[in-house]
Amino acid sequence: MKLNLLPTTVSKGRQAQSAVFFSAIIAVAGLVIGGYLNVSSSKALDNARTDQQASIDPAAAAYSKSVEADTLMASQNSVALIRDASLAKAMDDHNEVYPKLYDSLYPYIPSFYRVNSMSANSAGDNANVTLVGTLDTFQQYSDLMLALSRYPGLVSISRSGFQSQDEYVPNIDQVDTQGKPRKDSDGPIPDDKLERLAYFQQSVQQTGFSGVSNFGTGTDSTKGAMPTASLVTVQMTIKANLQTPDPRATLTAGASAGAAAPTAPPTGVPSSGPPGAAAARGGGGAAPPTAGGKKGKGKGDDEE
Amino acid sequence: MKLGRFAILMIGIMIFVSASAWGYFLYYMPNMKEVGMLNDNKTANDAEAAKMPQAKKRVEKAKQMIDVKAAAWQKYVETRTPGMSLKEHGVDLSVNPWQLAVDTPKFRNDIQRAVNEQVKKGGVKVLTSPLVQRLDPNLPVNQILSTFYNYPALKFPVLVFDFGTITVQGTYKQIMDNVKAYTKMPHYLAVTDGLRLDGTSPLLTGTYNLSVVGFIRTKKIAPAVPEGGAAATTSFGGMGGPPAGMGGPGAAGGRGGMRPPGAPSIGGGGGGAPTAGATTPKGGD
Repeated sequence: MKLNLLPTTVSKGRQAQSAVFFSAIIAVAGLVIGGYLNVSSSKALDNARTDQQASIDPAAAAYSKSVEADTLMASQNSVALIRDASLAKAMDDHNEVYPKLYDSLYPYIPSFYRVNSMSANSAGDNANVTLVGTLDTFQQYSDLMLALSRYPGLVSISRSGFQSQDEYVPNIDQVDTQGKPRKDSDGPIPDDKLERLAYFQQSVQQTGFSGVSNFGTGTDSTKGAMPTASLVTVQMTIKANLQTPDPRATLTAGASAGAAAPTAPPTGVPSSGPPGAAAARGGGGAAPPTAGGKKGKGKGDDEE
Repeated sequence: MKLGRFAILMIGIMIFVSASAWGYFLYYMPNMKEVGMLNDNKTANDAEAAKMPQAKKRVEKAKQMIDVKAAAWQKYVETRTPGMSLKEHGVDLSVNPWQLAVDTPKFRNDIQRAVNEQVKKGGVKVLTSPLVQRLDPNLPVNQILSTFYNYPALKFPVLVFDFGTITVQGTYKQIMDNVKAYTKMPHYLAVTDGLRLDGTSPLLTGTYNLSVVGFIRTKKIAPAVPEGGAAATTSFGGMGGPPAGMGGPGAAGGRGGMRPPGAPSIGGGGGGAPTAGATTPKGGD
């Protein structure tokens, strides 16, 4: 039997030394890792700060450059310049809007429709055109609509005022047992010869010169409808912008919206106001669409 | 007491964990978070900086647009605005209001002559013609600017005449030429509206509304003068005595009302003369 006389701690002490050694290594590794994390992250932070600082100036320069454009456009003089130049152009342009509209309409007015009056007014993006003129027959009344319907940009069209002069076949009665054709305004035409003679004699009302609608008067005044004609009104809605620039409203709005004027105003340049377009009596002032010009069948009698 | 192997190893491991946690949570994590934020910020800055060419283009474009408008406006100024003096078919607003009271009716007559000439263009016969507003000769001189030149209501002296309905007679072509001619009205801008044709050709009647605008060119506007209350208290008792309100600094004046905006007030009675040349006139002759 062997007797172990060494204390029990002897072999365990050696084992403890190993444990201490490994424990120390582990601890040092932890410290190294902790230190590395500290140092590396601090370095990354410094680099990031440096880069970020370096990026500020170019960004600020770009921003200030961008703001420069806005400032330029928003400056009092620029705003006033743009407004006044736009107003002046809109005013000048609008002087040709109505002539162009009427010129474009003319080729579509048939020759049998003698225009006495022509007017137009703005209705938002459209224009309401009113034509008043004379024509003779019910067929022309329809043909007029067809002719004007060819106008490019027509939205809607309506007519009124035709007085029918056509004869119609009435129902028979005791006086007229045959239903002889007559005008709406006439009474039944008698069958009896003598009564019929008296009927036609009574229907004659005017024997001398009447000067109806200024015809034959020798004056230049407006000629209305002939006795057999009708004064017809045509209402057209077409795509045409007749909105008129309103100088006073534009300048007043500019004055109220803007800052104080410079004490010595630039030549012809009011000092303030919103940029861009002139205020309109309803908007812009674009020319009406030019019609197909030469496509029309005939020209109205009013043309020079 | 002696520690066992396991305990010793645990101590090492605990130190490891503590040191690592110290490094990670106290430094690494917050630092990297900040790095992330800084990088985001840098990215945003870079994106902003990359817009520099665009920004330069915008500025150039804005300058070009203003130049184009200025050139367009310059043409209007040269031919479509009144002159800078009576001799040039215009008016000089830098003269004192007493003189302006004399000049304005002359200028008004000049405008009327221009309108009379214009309304006949195209060879039409004028049935209803526009009348330019006449000034009351007894109008307080300090009110001329506001009454006739719409200043300072419009922040700038500008004539605006809404003449209402004009009626002319002629052929279709004459009336159309008449209306179109307003596009070239000398010294003034004009706009017609609501053209209506009536009658039987060749003698038609044209009716339209007319507005005329005159941008007054001036480098300065004379300050208001003491008038009104001051004038009313003028004493005739003493020979040659100055009217009340015309005295030294501090004298009651009543000049402030017509002072152009932004003009400095000079002295007690001073109206503050507009500073000439504060803004370079773009369209000066």
